[in-house]
Amino acid sequence: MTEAEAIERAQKGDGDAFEALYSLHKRRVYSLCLRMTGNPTDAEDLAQEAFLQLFRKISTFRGESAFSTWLHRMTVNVVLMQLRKKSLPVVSLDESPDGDEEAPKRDLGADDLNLSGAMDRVELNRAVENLPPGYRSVFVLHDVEGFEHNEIANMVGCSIGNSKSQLHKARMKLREVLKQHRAGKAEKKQA
Amino acid sequence: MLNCEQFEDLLPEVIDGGAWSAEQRAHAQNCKSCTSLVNDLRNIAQESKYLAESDEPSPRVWQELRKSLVAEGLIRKPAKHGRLMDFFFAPRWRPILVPVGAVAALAIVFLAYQSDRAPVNAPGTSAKVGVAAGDQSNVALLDDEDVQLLNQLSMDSPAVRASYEDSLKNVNLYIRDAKEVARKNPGNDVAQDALMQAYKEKTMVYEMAANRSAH
Amino acid sequence: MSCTQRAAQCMALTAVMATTLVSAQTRQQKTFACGPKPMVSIINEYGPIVVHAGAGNQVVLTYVVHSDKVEVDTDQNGDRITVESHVLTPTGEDAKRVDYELLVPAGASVILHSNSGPISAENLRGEISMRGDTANMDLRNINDGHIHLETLSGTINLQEVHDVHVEANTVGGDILMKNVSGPLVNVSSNQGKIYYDGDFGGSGSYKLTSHSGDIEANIPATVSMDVTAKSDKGQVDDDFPLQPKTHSTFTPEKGHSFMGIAGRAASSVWLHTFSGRIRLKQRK
Repeated sequence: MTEAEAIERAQKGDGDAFEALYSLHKRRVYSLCLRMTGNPTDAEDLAQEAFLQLFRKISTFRGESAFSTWLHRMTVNVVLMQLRKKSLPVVSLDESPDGDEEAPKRDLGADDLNLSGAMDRVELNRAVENLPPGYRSVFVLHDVEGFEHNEIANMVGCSIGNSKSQLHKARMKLREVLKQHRAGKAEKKQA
Repeated sequence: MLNCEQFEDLLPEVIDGGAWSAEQRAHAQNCKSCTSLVNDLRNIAQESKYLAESDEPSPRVWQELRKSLVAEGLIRKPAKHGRLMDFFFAPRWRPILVPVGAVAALAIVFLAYQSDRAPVNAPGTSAKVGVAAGDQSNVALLDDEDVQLLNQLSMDSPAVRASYEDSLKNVNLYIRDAKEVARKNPGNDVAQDALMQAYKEKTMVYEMAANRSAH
Repeated sequence: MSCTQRAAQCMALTAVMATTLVSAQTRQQKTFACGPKPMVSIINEYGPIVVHAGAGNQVVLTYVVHSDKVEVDTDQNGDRITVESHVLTPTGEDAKRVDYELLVPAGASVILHSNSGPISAENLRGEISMRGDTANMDLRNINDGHIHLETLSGTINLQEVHDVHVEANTVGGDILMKNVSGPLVNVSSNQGKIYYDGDFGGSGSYKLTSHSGDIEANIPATVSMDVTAKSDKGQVDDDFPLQPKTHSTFTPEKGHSFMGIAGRAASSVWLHTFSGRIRLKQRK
């Protein structure tokens, strides 16, 4: 069945339709929760909660926006609420370049290993999971999920400048990790 | 003239589409290291988009979600299977169900593929798996052989059953969609090829289940 | 009870526990003499399998058994070596776990089954078959031969695979390929992403198909291929300059399919998904 058919049938209480909608969107929702929390068990609980909240309100969906957009925003809200409840850092409040988390510094004298060409996505995935929580949230919301800085600032309660700064730190940290990984692989090849 | 450190400090404001100053542009043109930095950061941003759907939750999530939906009365349709199925899935039948099921599945795949190649309006050619043309809305995600297979796998563990159930539903969706395209494009090689691929996936799932039971 | 007696009791208990822990995880190694192209199969219900090319005409099997509820049976008939994890009593997954590491001649053929995986193989030239319900599969530096991979939800990662006939199928996992080429490369993922980074070389036939997963190919400007891409319900993006194809029965539909040739059209490339997105990118 198409998504539109599944929504209509789910509004009438069809279990298969709920399941079809879940199957269509589970990876997106779960991946977002996992990237934001860094913990698979928490991510699964949050994914379940996001879907449950959505399905409770499905009778009110009239198709004004894409269903996936609706679900996406709901998932972000669920995750952010949970992070706040646990008093986990969503975004570092310190706007200075040298914030609480260690800001990766570029070694200006060293040759840069060009990261253009195919990036190892498994490595990138791992590197994102290992980002400090404050950097990770903004990075996930902006680069992975596609939110703009003004939207992120509204959602997480920080300034646009802070959002941009945290994103930059996250990308620099990822660059450092990916370069180290690539250098390690190059050494192994030569050996 | 900017140095590299100053250039980097200003990057967050411009890298994602902001307006570059003449000084920033001049530094980027003359500094290989900073150009490489900008390219790397943009590359990371670009590649990260593809992480959006890279992970899959365990079957437990749907199981718990379904329980909540039933408990809250959001799922209202009755269950599909009754006591007759319980009789056939009694323990005495289990040792023979999987090998019989695997052979039956392969036979069904072959017959279904043959009937899909035949013209849509030829008598007696509706596939055993799936539904008659024009009745897509009532197709269940699992057919009887699938349920039989899953009940056999339940002897392993609920997690194994859930994993196979998930896979069977996905391949059945694929078969359903491929059949729809093939029906709309009779005789089209591309459509037939996709349908064959969908059936091959289902065969793979059955073979893996049979292989599991054999060990 | 005196202090000395209590201390002795504690030490005895510690010794028993340590012995139990040690015996619960047992590491063993076995060596099998063989020819340059043996056939080795490992059937493992739960646990990783790692295969490397080793020196000499021998198969070196190292395994770690994680409990006394599972044992390893091995058998050799000429150049055919079979290894199987044998669960003695019904138990949980962790207790069934056996970790395998295998060193084989580079020309060996291997059949590797592990429901959980992960399963990996490196530096081989023979036939490789892997199967596992949720097993992630990783193959690197494989030349010649045939690769056959099946998993329900595992991710398949292929790197530096050349002149190999590749067939890989996963229902829910992703397929990642870097520098993979051969006479026939057929990969399929129902829901997962298929990512190809390479040159579709070797005058081969490449077929990348999915139901709802996205397909992306990142290729150099020097590629030589005849490509057709179609997404029945999804979008296609052709960011690679192609020359038009003059003789074809395929009719492209704007936004949903495209076709064309590059270079001398040495390889044939078919990208198809029902509802995913297809993207053909030129490598920078």
